[in-house]
Amino acid sequence: MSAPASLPPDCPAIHVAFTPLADENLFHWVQVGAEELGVPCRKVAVSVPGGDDAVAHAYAAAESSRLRIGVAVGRSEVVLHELHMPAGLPVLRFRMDGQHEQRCRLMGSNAARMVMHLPFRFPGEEPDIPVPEWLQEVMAATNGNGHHSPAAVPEPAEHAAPDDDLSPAEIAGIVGLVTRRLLERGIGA
Amino acid sequence: MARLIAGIDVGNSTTEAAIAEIDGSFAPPRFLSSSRVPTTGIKGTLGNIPGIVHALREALEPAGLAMRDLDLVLLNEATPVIGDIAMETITETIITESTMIGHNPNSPGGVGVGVGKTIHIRDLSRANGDGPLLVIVPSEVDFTQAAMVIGSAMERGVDIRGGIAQSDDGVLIANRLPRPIPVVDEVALIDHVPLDMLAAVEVGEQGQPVRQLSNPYGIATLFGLTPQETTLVIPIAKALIGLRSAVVIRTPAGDVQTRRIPAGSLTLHGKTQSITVELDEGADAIMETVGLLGELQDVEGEPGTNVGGMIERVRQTMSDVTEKPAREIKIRDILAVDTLVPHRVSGSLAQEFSMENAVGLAAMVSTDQLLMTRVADALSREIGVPVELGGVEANNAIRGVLTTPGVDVPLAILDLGAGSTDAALLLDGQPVRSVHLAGAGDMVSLLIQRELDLEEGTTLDVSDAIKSFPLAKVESLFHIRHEDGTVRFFEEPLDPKLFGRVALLTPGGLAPIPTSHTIDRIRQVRREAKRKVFLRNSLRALRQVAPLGNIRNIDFVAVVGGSGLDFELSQMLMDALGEFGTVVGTANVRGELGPINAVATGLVLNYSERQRR
Repeated sequence: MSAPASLPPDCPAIHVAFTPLADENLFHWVQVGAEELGVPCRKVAVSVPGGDDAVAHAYAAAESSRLRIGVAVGRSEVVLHELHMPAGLPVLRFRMDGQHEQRCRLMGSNAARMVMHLPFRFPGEEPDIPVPEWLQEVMAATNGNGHHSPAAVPEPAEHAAPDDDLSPAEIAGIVGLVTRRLLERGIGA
Repeated sequence: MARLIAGIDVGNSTTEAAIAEIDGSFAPPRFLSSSRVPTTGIKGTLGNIPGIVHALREALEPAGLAMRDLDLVLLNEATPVIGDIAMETITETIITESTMIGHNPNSPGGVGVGVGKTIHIRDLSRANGDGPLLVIVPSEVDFTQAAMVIGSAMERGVDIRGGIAQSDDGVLIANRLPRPIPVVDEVALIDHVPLDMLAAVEVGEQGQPVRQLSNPYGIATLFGLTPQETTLVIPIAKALIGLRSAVVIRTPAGDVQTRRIPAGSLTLHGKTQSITVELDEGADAIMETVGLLGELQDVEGEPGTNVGGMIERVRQTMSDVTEKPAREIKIRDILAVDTLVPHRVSGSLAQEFSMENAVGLAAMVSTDQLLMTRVADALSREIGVPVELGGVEANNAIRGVLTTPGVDVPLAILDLGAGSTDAALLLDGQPVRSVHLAGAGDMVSLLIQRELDLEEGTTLDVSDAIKSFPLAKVESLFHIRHEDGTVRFFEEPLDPKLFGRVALLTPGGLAPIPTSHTIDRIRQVRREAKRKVFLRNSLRALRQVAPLGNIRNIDFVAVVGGSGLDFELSQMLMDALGEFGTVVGTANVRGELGPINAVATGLVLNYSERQRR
């Protein structure tokens, strides 16, 4: 498995800075968010008077970026800044709320979205499209077999159309979401 | 002795008032104020009264007057028609087993085509060199793990040709593999992808749609299909056109079909003959027949078909409103519009939609003239002021429009309202001729809503807004690009929620549109909808009132009503009517009010002229 190759030094990139107390390992997650959209990221060291101000760090990072876009990871928040904005007014500012990796990935994605002129995504907006009810019904009727079975063995339709409040698709969605959150927090891995 | 009178025009969507002072002499009325408020209730019902009272108060207050100062209220004899609209798709694509995924995620991974049997990533460690495979990656497996498992299998010599992922991880997985493979991602219902089935994935080049899977022969090549089987995959290929990534899965019993719903036929009854038209022949054929028959007496839909249902629904709504039995409701005009609407494919895996043919119908029925008398009586009791009906609406509208600087008789007016398109013509020394046709603003909104697949829950709100306001794309936090390509800068940064979105320029500021359509697409749908309804109906209406049925015989056309405020409609009309040598413009009632208040003003003017005789 290989992470993306290191950047040439003069390649335009989103610049990511860290406040003194921030966890620099979170760079990986900012980078992952931007990588999905194909925009490169670079970790930069910026000197900001007055210590732990993530907004000032993000602005300084934006100043050094040829894309004019900077992200700063602080202890409790992650900030997206753009050089044209007033220094004190960042583009986006997410609190970590205990979900550091998720928020950093989301902000990395938003930094890339800013480059690509795509609408931002916000915390709590699940990128997975919710499954409409009618589709669940169609699926329960036509393809009700479970999903955790070896492929070769044809399965009896034991999970077909359960009378629960939740359909198999919904349950699978919730399980997936919880597992992913756990993995992202490093609990389940 | 000066008298204070008010003219009230109750329209489908707005109620307008004009207040004027008339002294007994030969001086023209002196207009004091006017107002425009939303109509309450359905036009011609007692539900209108709160709106009328509101309109009167709005007009009286700035003039420093009270309700009791009024000597008389004149009410328009509302156009005795009401309209209704409906739309039905006449084709439908159904997948009886999950055989296809096609959608436009932002960032699928890799590029190219891969064909193989589907395998769950969980079973990959047990796989060995038995033919090409496509890996299914549900969202509980994160991209690092997925890449690790797939990568190690590849290095063991397992022939992996592509992947289908549930999360938005396609690029991340593809980037971490020793050899690039196409990965389709954001497949919400990945649990329903059948395993151990032959499937093909394709990811288009950046900025390009899939090519192989949107080509029936491409699918045939990948799966080795017979000519008979190839004809069956046409709907799949059609549904995948223009998409960035796609999966086609071959299940033994899998079947995708385009079902043609029996659309039915319309029987149009004219004065002397009746003609039946198949809906399949399209809107043009229907409208040609309508033109051929002259004055329609009634319309019937074939029972047991979609169009039969539509016509019956219209009749039922009308029957509810007018409190007349449904069989006495006669449809006096219809407007048919062909359209292509995105329709969710039944049984698909990633909420694909295919473009289906649909037909929109607007119908109009005549109502009782008595309705407005009831409103007038109730209003009089409510406000304690005498209320009179002030004559036919078209006469008043023409009289009001004649206060526009630069117009003269012979004059035609066009009122493109919400429910009906009305035209009236005044020739020297002749009574006013008027027509009312089915289909206007509400039909435009419906077309916009269905073609752009906007949320039905928001009913017509978003589509109404799209109809009414110009578009802009928020390109940065400091500038927007208008739909004509010009750029406008802002000194203060915009709300980040607007960034990258298409927004409407409303008086209240920029309003983002909850859709991922491009600005060009929205603009095209909007203008096309207006062309199909407003332009077609304007020409139809003017032909019916024009001397000898020839629009060339009309010199002046003035657009009145709320549609006159539309930001692009009068230019579109000018383009269309220019070829007839007709002057078209937006009315400017009393030289100051623009296209609105024509009827209310006309009511007062006609009344004072009657008094002087």
